[in-house]
Amino acid sequence: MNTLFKIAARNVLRNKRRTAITGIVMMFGIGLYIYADSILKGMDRMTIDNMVNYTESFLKVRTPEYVSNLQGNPLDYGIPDPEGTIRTILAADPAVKAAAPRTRFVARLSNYEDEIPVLAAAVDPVRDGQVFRLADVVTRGVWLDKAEPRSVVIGADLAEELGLDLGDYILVSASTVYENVNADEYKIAGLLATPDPSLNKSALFMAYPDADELLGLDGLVTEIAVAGRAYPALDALLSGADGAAASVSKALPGLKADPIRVLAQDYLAMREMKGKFSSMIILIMLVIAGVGIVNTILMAVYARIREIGVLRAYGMTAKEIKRLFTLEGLIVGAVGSFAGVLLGVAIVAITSTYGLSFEKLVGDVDMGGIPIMGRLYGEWNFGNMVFGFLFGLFVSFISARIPAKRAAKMQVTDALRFV
Amino acid sequence: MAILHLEKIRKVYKKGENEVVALRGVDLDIEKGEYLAVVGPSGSGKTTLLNILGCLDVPTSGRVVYDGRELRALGEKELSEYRKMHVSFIFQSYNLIPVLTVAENVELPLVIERKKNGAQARAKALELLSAVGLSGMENRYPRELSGGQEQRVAIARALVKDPIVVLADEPTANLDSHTALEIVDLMKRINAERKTTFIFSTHDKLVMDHARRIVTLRDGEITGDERR
Repeated sequence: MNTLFKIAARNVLRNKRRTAITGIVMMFGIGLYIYADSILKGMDRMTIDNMVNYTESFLKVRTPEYVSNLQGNPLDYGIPDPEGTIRTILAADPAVKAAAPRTRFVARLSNYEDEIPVLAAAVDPVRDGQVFRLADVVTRGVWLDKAEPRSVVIGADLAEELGLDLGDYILVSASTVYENVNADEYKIAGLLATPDPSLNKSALFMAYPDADELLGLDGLVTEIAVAGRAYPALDALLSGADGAAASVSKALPGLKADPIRVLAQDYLAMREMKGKFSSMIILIMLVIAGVGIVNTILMAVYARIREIGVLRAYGMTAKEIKRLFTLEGLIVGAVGSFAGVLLGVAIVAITSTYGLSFEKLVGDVDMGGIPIMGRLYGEWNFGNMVFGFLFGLFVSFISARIPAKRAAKMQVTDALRFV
Repeated sequence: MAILHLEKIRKVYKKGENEVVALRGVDLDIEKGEYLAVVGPSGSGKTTLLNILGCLDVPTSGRVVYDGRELRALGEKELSEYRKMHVSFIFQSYNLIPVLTVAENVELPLVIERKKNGAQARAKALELLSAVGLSGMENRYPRELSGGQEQRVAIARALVKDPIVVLADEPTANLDSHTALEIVDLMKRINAERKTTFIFSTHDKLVMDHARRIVTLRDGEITGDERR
């Protein structure tokens, strides 16, 4: 085996250019795969983090009836005893860190000339700030906790569309709990620029006292948004939310606690598709690399037909000849795959440290409502790096077997006669 | 008793629609320790005969008996085993493995045979290199050697496993006459010292002159068998 390996390794080194070309294709294939996977995982992390921090939260508690009638954000099916419910939630699971009531409603916002429908939410500004990070993305003005009464915070793009600015007055109209329409005037206290374009284009937030007056809520809370502890990895975050939601559901019979995995199910379904796309990338790259290996080993077989004859003449079996050429393919594959992993590690190290500007990466495009804006950081996925390496080895093994079989089948006399 | 016994050996190659008869019922007995030259014009069947003797090729019909054992009945694995244990080859173009050093090339049959460990194989290789006059060249690569030196390495490789029979197909064809004579002398000396059976095909008058038995082939038939 030692001499077989020696012959294989030295032949690989002897044909440097051929080996280098195949190795480089493998390296780029696997490196690109690791990079793509890291970026896709980074996008996942960014998207889910943005959902947790700006729109959906770690987990959400609602009544089952409200969840069944989500369309139109009805002002029905409120949570009974919201404050008691919040206390129960906070005690239900150690992963739960904060909880805040919210009441969503559909409103129309007018600058007295034009009118735009908006998705509005009545919030408790202080407790909402403990669950969401909206206060951090108020680019101009202040969040509701520091605003005067009868103020609202709206998306910056929405303000721009209606030609509104900080301090301007707007007219907000909406259906009340009594199903009549009410309208009132509010001052713009803050403008939001979140990583979620849909919030920037159509969100309006007002404090509960003002919402009570406008909608006649009388303490109606349609959902309780819950913040969880920090998780280093996306999968841990999703599992942590699942566990916490299960604990909360158990503690609150009659209410429905949905973790972020359920709240972001549309995105996560799309993520599965992205996973398939990423697999396609590696498949295409590795098929190219595999063809390279077939070619490299086939060239090696043709260049060394007489050598095969000599080895057979001296008693080497067809199986050992096959093993020799397979070993050569595996060496090329192992070197290429290892280099690919190193390349992938280097790229992931850079992207996970410095990040990439998502806008620069894809331009200013609407990602179909996916909250993905800002700096995109690559995610480490060591399991995938090992997979990339092993898959590279597997591809090289399979690819090398084809010409290796041909070498093994060669007649000794034909091989010795070959010029 | 003959170490190799050939009986009515016939070999027919198919080339497309046509059949080429390489050997037409060859009968031959070779004793242990012989120094035998197979001569004849190109296409007379010399190489085919050597290939059949070395079990590199199988006859279309006839019997090959080695040391009382019928070789035709052996399967692929047993034939490999026969080649591994009993016969060695010397080729016209030396056919050394270019990526292996001189010593590694000589060791190769022992590595394939798997009967000696690394140190034993190296010791045996160095002994053979010394016997063929290449001491001190064990770490060189074939590309660093002359044609004559390469053929000496090939001879050392052929002898390293102490074969009963060495088959050499035109071993001096690529060498100048001076080097060819050295190689012939070397093979003859080894034949005398080790009693190794040498069977070689040749066109070379010089090589023929040194043979103790000359078998002449013409159109696939033995037309002469001269002992000296």
